[in-house]
Amino acid sequence: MARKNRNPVGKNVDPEAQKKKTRTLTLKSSDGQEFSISESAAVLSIAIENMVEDDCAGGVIPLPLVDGGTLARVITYLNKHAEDGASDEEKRKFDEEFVSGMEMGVLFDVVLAANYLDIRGLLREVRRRIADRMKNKSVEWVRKTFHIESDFTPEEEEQMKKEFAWAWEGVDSDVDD
Amino acid sequence: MDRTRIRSGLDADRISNLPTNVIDNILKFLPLHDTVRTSVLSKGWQYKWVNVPYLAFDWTFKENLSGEHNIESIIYQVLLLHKGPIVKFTLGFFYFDFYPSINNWLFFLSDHRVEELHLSYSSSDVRRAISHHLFTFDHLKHLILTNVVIRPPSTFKGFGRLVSLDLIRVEFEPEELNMFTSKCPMLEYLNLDFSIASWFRHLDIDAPNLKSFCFWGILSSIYFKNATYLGEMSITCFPILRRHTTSEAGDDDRNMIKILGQLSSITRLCCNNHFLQLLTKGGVPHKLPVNLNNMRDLVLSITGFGFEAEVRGVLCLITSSPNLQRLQITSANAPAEDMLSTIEFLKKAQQETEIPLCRLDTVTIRGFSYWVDEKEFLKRLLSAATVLRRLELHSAYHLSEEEQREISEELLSFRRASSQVEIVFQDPAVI
Repeated sequence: MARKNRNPVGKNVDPEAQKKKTRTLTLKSSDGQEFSISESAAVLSIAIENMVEDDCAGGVIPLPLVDGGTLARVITYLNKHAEDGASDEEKRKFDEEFVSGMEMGVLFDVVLAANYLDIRGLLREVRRRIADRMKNKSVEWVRKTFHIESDFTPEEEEQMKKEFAWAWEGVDSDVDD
Repeated sequence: MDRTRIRSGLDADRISNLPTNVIDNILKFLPLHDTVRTSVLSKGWQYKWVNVPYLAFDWTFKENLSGEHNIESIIYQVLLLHKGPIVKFTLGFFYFDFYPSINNWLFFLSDHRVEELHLSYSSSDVRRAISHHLFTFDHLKHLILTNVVIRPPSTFKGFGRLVSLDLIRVEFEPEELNMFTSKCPMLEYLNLDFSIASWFRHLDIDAPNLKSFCFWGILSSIYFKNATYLGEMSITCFPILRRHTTSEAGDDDRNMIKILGQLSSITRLCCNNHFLQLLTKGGVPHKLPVNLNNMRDLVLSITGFGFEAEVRGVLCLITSSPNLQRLQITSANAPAEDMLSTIEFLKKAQQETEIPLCRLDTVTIRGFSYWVDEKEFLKRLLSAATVLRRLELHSAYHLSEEEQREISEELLSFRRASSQVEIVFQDPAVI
């Protein structure tokens, strides 16, 4: 009876999925750093999955648009999401912590990498985080935080403010969060 | 020199140079006020907001507005300036005087490939029929309507892509709902929350892809015509009459078989006592003709363990679910007139019939009172469940440790199929 419990009947192990777990790929960043990663984690990036499928990888996959520091971060994310037995709740918590500590510059590096590598979940998290930094903030605050230079004349700006006067309500006072 | 270069690298405007799809998607997460304000950041940003495919005039939007602004004209302004598809549109509140405008907005939106639409009227006192333009939204995948009346026109071709439908306090005729769902062949999720339809004489659900069905409201009968994939069902219903009659003239069908007989894929059933009564109308078979082999969870509310029809219904469900893993019963502990005959029935069932419960792992009883009828029911379960690991008893009133020990000892002294049952008591405070 006990033995039967330890080997649950009907739980088929997909040999292809098993292979992906053991097979490793090498990713090469723009500055020449190489990283090993299991295929099952790497293919969470749709772009890498396509490269693997087209077999244009040849062992090392060059990623000329991602620098080493950013790639290391992305790989941490991929490994967590490919981890066996990580619950959805665990992954959600990880995602939150993963992006909450990032500085603005890093957020942009990661959002570009996630967009290029087509990693949907990561892209969504980082976009949400960037949006959170803009939420309820004044135009001046957003300009300052994101280094956006205005090329409107004060008159033009005043005119637009008038046109959308309603949108200027409900703004927090300018304090860094 | 180097330092200035590093500084300028850090100070660069990176957000403005992100790919358009990334910017669009960042703006998607912002409330409309913030999105519109980005138009003033710089000339490069002036028209970025007009492409954002999500428009939400929801409570956040309303709360950010002071009284001096006219909501209707703001909505017109935004819709007129917007470009491209509007994938998701929310009108989280609207008032009576919006009705002519809603007609215009829905007409405008009907060729914008809207996939997700939430419309909610602010008051539940008076409902009015929603504009017929709604029925021309060919791309709709998710629809949430609150506090309105729906009257699909006879020309309604259906929503060929609709996956989820939430009708909250929505009024419709039962035949209309039946017609409506049968014209949404991709429907997977259907939620009818306190929706009133001329007393729900009869509800026919014909949705070949339905996976989840939730119902809360008045119901007198229900039938699933074509629901081979239905996995989760949650029904909290109330009878039309205050005193529910169990035998109606001419109604000698066995509801249990009629309603559940078709649901071979069901994995989780959650229902209240009135639905159990509805199921047991016309008599309860010992078990269903076809097993519910996929059923894993039963979450049932009963009037009390002394009510024979309900207890028979519960046993029929259990007996027909050989792969059941978790059973939760919440008892309202009402005293039953037919308690003695129920006990008699349970005792007889003990000797006569076998229940195949070889997967049942956890049983939870809420409102546990340990009356004789309840004890007999537990006896019946303990004798059948071969791998039962945990029996959780949430008592209706406080039990001292001494009482808990006595109950445990007695329960464990009954004939028991599983050698590893752990009995856990929970005080009423943590229910």
